[in-house]
Amino acid sequence: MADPHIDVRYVANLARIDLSNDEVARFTTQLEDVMGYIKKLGEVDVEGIEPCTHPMIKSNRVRKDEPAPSLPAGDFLQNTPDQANDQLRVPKVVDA
Amino acid sequence: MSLASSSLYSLRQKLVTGEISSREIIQDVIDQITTRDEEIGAFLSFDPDTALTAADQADLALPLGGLPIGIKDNINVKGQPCTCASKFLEGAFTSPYDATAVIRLKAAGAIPFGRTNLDEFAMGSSTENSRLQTTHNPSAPGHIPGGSSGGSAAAVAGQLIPATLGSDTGGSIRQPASHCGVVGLKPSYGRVSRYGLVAFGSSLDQIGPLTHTVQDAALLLNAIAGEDPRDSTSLDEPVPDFTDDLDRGVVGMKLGIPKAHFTDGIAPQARERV
Repeated sequence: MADPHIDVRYVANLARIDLSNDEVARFTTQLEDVMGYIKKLGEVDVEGIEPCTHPMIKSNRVRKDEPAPSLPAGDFLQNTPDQANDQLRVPKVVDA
Repeated sequence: MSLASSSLYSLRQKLVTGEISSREIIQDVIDQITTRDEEIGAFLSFDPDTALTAADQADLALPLGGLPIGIKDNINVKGQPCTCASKFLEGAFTSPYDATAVIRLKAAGAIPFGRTNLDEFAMGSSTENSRLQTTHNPSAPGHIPGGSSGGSAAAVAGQLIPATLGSDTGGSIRQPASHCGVVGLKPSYGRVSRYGLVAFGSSLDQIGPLTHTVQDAALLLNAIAGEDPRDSTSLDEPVPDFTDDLDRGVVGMKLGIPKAHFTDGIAPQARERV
């Protein structure tokens, strides 16, 4: 795994978080330390060990493809600041 | 001994014989919190009117009929706040649905009561990382209650309510239960549905009881355990009656101990006991 680099300015902009230059520098170092630590996982010898995603369930489980009532829109929209046509409206967060 | 400090089992005996009413239990819980929780700080909020109304309608024929259970503030109860002890959600979020564990508590007749403090989004082991309030350990004044389910443990240890639900990812029920001297149980992964629990580590999270007695923990687990179509990691296995074997004792049982946990730094008393 290559040394991770995190563009904190870019991510902060997507998350609509205002950061000073000092904060960008500090968080870049901290986040790269965190990501670097994850590299330690690569040092573990897992040769011959079967992958485990669940201690009891060994196969994927899917529900039947049958329509059922879901949460009424009004119930979850009560927690949102901005709505349109029974949907949640948010500022655009993807790049143009 | 106040009603709020009693075990679920003993309260149930008194309820079914008509010696006390569910309203009296709820009222005592409200009184205890109002007069004593300022010092403990276990509860972030509670809704007395909803609980008293539920008490008046309680079906005592059900296994937990009319009994109040405190709920960690990261488990959704419809119509109540779910702050996760975060400023993000404080005053900004009302749960639009019940967690499966809460649906099952209600189906067993229990009354979800109040929201207990935690480390913010359950990330911590002391409840000092709550952004809303400090919780003190009623069993060891001047000490932390542990965490992240510190409010749930302190509420039981402080005799404010008979039992609570917490959540455990890497010790968040077991460790505060130990700090506060109450019973805490992390069910095996998959035994209790995670639906409606605000996720932390999805392959480890479980909801479980904090109680005065092992018997009460078994009663609560009976109510909340079981497969749930809304959580594909919930276990498709029959749920036994967890109270069945309580009198059997531990003679002849084989207990596994993870060696990795018994290294340097462990308290000598703990090492000796194990």
